[in-house]
Amino acid sequence: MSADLLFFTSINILMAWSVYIALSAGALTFGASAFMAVGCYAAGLLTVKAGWPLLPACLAAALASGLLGFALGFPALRVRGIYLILTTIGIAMSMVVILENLDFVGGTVGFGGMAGATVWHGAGAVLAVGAALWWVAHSPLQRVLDAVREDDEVAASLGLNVVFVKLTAFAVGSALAGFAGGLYGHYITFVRPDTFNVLVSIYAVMFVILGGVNNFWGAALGAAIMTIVPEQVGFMRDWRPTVFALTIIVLLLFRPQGLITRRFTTVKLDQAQA
Amino acid sequence: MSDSLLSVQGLSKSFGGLHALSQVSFCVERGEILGLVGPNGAGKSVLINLITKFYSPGQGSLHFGGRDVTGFSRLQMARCGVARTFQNIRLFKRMTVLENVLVADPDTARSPFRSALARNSRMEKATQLLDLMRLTALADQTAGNLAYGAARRLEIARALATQPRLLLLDEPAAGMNEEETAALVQDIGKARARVEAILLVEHDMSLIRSLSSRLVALIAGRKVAEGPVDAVLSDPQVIEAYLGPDEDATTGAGELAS
Repeated sequence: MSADLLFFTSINILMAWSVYIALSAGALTFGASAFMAVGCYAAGLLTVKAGWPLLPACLAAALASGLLGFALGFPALRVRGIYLILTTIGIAMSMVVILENLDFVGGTVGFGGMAGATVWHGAGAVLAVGAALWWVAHSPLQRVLDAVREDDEVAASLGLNVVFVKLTAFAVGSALAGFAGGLYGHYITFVRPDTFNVLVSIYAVMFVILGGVNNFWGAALGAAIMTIVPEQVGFMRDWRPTVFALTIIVLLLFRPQGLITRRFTTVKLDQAQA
Repeated sequence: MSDSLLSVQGLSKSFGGLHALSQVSFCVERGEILGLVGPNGAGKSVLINLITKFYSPGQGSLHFGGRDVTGFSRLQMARCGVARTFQNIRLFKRMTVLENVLVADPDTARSPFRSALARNSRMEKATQLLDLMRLTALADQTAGNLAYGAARRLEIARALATQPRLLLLDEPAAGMNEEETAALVQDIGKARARVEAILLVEHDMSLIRSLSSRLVALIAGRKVAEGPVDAVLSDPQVIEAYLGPDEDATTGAGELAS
């Protein structure tokens, strides 16, 4: 397996987790590509025009994406279900147009000069974010997220601030997409606004649906499978979108909860008393 | 305002042209279990849903603990001390019994993100509540797999975990047999010691009789009677609503009042 493939697998896992984080609070978003774009361009501006080192630039870009996620999520999360999906698709498509009209980042021509990201940055980010998600999965916060996702009306009636939890999850997911975008840009060195079209978001959601939404391993597995398998199996390479679509259809027919369905219990009585 | 715990004044609610609730007023006093009775469609659940803001407000006003809570949100009602159970059980089915209780802990609810660091600090209170509601043996079971009676008890335990002042029980005995209902009377008695008052919506007259000190009767969205249990249950309008306006009403009255 080439370094390229390993790196793109890492990026796709991060993107899948960005969707998973928002979804774990019940917000299904197709806007990940927009925040990936913001992260990429923001990190690129910081390294290319302001001379920042890569990692601080990516972290600052993640912060910017997260704040934008917070700002956009505030009105967007007032709507639910299909309307939230449409709103976030709108965000993804608008972002491409906005970037195409910003001349100081190259407009439709694109933005280059970024460099320095390696496969190790990608792998390190996956390990760090994975560790954080593992921590959350075994904490009281996971129960809060599960409660909000399963029945937000009841969750609110128990004193949980559903809006705040959803909004924060959406913003954290956006920040992660921004970080992934920053790394991605500095690996491939040149991007155009269309690099981050809505298909990128759709793929990220598909990874999560394929892997399963009940824990963070599922999203990672879905992303890894759908990145590596089409590249390794020769004939699939040219048919990637087709293979992708067929896989999802088959999965939804036979295993609609995704490959990994298990929800990990955050705490057990006997272990707590021991 | 009086010093009632909850005061409902002139509450009305209509859906389309249907008046689900018209000008209902009553108070829940500290220390009491107030029973709310009435036939199906009388507006009992509508009332609960209005108090807990599951429905958007209609006309009328609500005061809780002396504060005007008419315009409060669902979250605000929960945080000022109103907790409820649901007629059609609404547990977090994918979570365990223990997790359902833990998630309702006020400290977790108020700062969910800091709770990620706090880990299992609230375990003692939760295990106490599981004991109280006879759920300890089921603690690690998935809530979705619980039998009916246990699921009802878990709803009460979860509501108590929020440390409420007022507990609203929406038909807790629905679908239970006599034995289970008798046990439920004990459980609600134990819950009573942990809250200032309970508003109990129920069809089951044995449950109402064993627990309530006072009743409010609703028929077709209007309050028709309020007062001591026997007085309300022997009210002719209440008897007619429950048993129909035929000549058997007199025997029915005996049944209800006995």
